[in-house]
Amino acid sequence: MVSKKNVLSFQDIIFNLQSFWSKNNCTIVQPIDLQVGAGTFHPLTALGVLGKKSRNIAYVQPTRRPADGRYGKNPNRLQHYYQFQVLLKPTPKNIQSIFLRSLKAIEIDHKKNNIEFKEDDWESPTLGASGLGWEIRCNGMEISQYTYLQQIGGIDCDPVSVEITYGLERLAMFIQKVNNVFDIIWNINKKENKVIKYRDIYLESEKQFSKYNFEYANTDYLFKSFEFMESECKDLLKNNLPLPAFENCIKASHYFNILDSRGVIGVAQRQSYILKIRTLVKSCCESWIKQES
Amino acid sequence: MSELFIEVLSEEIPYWLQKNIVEQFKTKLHDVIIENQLSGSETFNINFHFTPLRLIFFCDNLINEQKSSTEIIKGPAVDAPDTAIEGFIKNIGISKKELKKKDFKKKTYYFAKHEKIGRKSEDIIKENLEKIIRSLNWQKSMRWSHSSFRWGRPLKNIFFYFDSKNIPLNFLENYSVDNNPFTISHKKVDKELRFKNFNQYKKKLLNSKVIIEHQKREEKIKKEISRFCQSKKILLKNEHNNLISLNAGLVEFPSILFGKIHKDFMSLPQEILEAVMINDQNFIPLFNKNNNLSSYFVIVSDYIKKEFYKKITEDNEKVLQARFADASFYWKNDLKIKFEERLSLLSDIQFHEKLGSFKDKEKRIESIAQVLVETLKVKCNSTELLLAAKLSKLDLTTGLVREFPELQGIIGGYIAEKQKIKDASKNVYLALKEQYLPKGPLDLCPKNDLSYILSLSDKLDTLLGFFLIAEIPSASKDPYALRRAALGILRIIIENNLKIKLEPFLKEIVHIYNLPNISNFKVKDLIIFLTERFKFLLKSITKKQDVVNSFFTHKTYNSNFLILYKKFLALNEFIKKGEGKKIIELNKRALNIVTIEGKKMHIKNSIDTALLKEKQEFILVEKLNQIENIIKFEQENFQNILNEISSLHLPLNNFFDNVMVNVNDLKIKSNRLSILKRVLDTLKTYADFSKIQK
Repeated sequence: MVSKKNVLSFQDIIFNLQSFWSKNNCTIVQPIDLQVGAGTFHPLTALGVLGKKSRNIAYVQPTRRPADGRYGKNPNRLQHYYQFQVLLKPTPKNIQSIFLRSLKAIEIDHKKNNIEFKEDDWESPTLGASGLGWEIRCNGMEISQYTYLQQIGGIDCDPVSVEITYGLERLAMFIQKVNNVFDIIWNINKKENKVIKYRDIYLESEKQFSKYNFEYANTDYLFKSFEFMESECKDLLKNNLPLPAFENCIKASHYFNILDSRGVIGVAQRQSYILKIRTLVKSCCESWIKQES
Repeated sequence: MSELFIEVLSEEIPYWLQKNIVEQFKTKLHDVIIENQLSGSETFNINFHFTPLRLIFFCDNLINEQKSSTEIIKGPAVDAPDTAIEGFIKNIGISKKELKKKDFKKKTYYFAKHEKIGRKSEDIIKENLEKIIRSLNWQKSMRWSHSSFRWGRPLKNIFFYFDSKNIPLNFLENYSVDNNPFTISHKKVDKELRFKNFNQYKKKLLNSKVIIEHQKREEKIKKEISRFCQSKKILLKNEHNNLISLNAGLVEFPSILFGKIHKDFMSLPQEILEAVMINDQNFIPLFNKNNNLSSYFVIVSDYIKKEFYKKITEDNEKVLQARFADASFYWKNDLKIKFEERLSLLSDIQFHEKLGSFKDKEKRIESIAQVLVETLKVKCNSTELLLAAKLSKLDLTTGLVREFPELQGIIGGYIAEKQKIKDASKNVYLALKEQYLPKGPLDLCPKNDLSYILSLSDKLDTLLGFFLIAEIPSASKDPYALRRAALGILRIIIENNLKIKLEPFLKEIVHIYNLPNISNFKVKDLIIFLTERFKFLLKSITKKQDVVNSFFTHKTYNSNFLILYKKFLALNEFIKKGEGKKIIELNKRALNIVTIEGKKMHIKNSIDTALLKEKQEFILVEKLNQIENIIKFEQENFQNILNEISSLHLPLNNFFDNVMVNVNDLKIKSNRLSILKRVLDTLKTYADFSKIQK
């Protein structure tokens, strides 16, 4: 492990990225206050990439993937984690070199490491979204996803946005040279010489939520809630309220994810649920873009 | 002679797109140069190179300017309507006074002298470059700053040098692409490079860590691996040359690092270790002399200074170990459950909504395998065959396959072997491991009876199943990879010498699906689909589209692909030889006469022997009768049939030399045409020789 005093803490990584992107023309916004499976679900991104208006934002997004929980026992897997998300529309010309400089801001120098742009075309079946780009690897480890968004809700993005997603835990593990996500140093309180670790903040939560996600979540309630969110979303769209309608898609999507981790959705059923969410998202996007133009 | 030199700079283009696109670009550029006669020598050739960021084109024997020329162009007749005459003048761009009158075939026409002024080569190429970059056919492409312009990844800069002079490309502005006359070094060197000509460009790039030749990057990797292997007494496998090409296509300057697998993981099945290394990380595994996996592997990094080698190697090892730890966890977990007990879990995994679960699929595989064994008359232990079929899909319920789907089959084979299934022999474990082969063109086909029967049964089930429920691939979509399944079936049949008529076979097994509403299904459609894949396979084996086309006339319909294959190979050999070439020539001559005369008169199919006059006519007709008999008699001895066909050469040649077709007596003329038509028909029973290019 690196000496504790000089190590870049988890919160330093966030600060540095925020300050870097702030200097590079981004508005630092706050996360969506709902459970989402990826930073892309944030309405400022999911809907914001549509339409002609330019948009440069960055934010931290807490992210939930119920099925990825491992009761706090796996050194690499979490059901709740953080993404740092950057969205730039239109795509700046020298974005690749800005991105490499952003890595330097968190002490990853591309001249000293092997930064690899590995082909990885991104697709989100629930969002009806797709993009081309790369998975960014640093010395073999995936640290970031870099995508030129081509489509969302089945609608072509014009202009095209670039979306950069940093996996904050992965980055921290790499920078701090730790092998277990719970060993990440979140903060060093220099006055009291006290180290706060990821474990101190989230281990218990991982244990409890893994139980909830895999064992205790009430599936009847979730199935019903899914249906309710679906009809609510449709009603809101009839009243031209795409923003609240989209939040209902987000909720429905999260319920679906928990049902999936409870193992109560069969393969064929799975497809039909994904299709239901995608149809809702598509309608939200269409309603939103009508208002935008 | 002038030098042309173009660099097209993008962000990282995936390896699988690079070569195809650079070749398309080169072909189009080549066509522009040939069509506009800009080449200064007969052996004109464009050199091209590519890296993940660059497409580079270079050639040094172009002329500076097209030759000027004068052409006399025939216009409308003098008495043609005014509009026609005006149109002609306008087209050529001269005045009416400049027109000349001249007689031509008993009529007077206007003629114009048209002076074509040679244009500068650089202008012509420049104009065409926009067309070229807009017309490339990317298998996958994207937009970034223009609403319709697409490229594999964002296109950054293009420059075009002609005669050491930068030629500005103004159209690039419309696509937000730069037109800087300089290039950039390797990203890690981070410099702008200026140069006067191609050689200087190449040298400067090399000094700043860009090797523009893909092959040289490959060689560098191979050389350093072989040096390392010698010192450790280990080997690189030939089958991993593709992995070297891939790695060379991901970097501009390979730095080669060697990592080591932690000994704790060396007890895992070798294929699992290999799959993780290759599929996840593009690492190149190295082997001991006995072909067992060694603990060393190769990491190809993009250029990096030596002082950072150690840290980067360690980081990569750590990533690999985390993946191995996952695999090891699943492996131990999966072994806890008895393999046969997984059978009940199989019905929970759906194969397809309409085709049921994997349990259903497995049952069908059992039935198909049994019919196959009977049809092929293979000596195959039926207990073992049923056991292999029964076990074949069980590994789909394991954690390892969920985590490493590409290892399906292999995992099952290992688990079964480890747990020693009752009644199972080595053949069964091998069949489980090989049941998905061949997956791609580089994979070997299973050779063991049990293995290929299992693989064939599985693929036939998939293919027939999806055709029965009308899930047929379209031009762009093949979600169930049926083309790949079809190719696998054909290769197994050909490479294992399996005599099977697929049409009746498929008809025989349709009932096992128990599907309602299959009235729209026709086995014929499936055979046509297989035939299309078969053509593709033959083309990829021989690289000769014309021979494939000649072989598949519209009448071809045969579901015995082994026979078709042998017939095709015989043809392919035949036309390489002198006799074959002569037959192509004579076929062409006969076809010309029949086509031209056939427009004027009806040609009967039958020959009237009473109308035969010349000796050579009699000989030719007799020869034809003889050949037709032999074709009927020999059936599958294609060598003999082709020998017989080539013996047509002499009588046919004598016929052409001595018998006049175009005689005044129409009855005789018609009869002679019928002889030629019969020659054509006879040849066509083998192939349409007119489609073969020399």
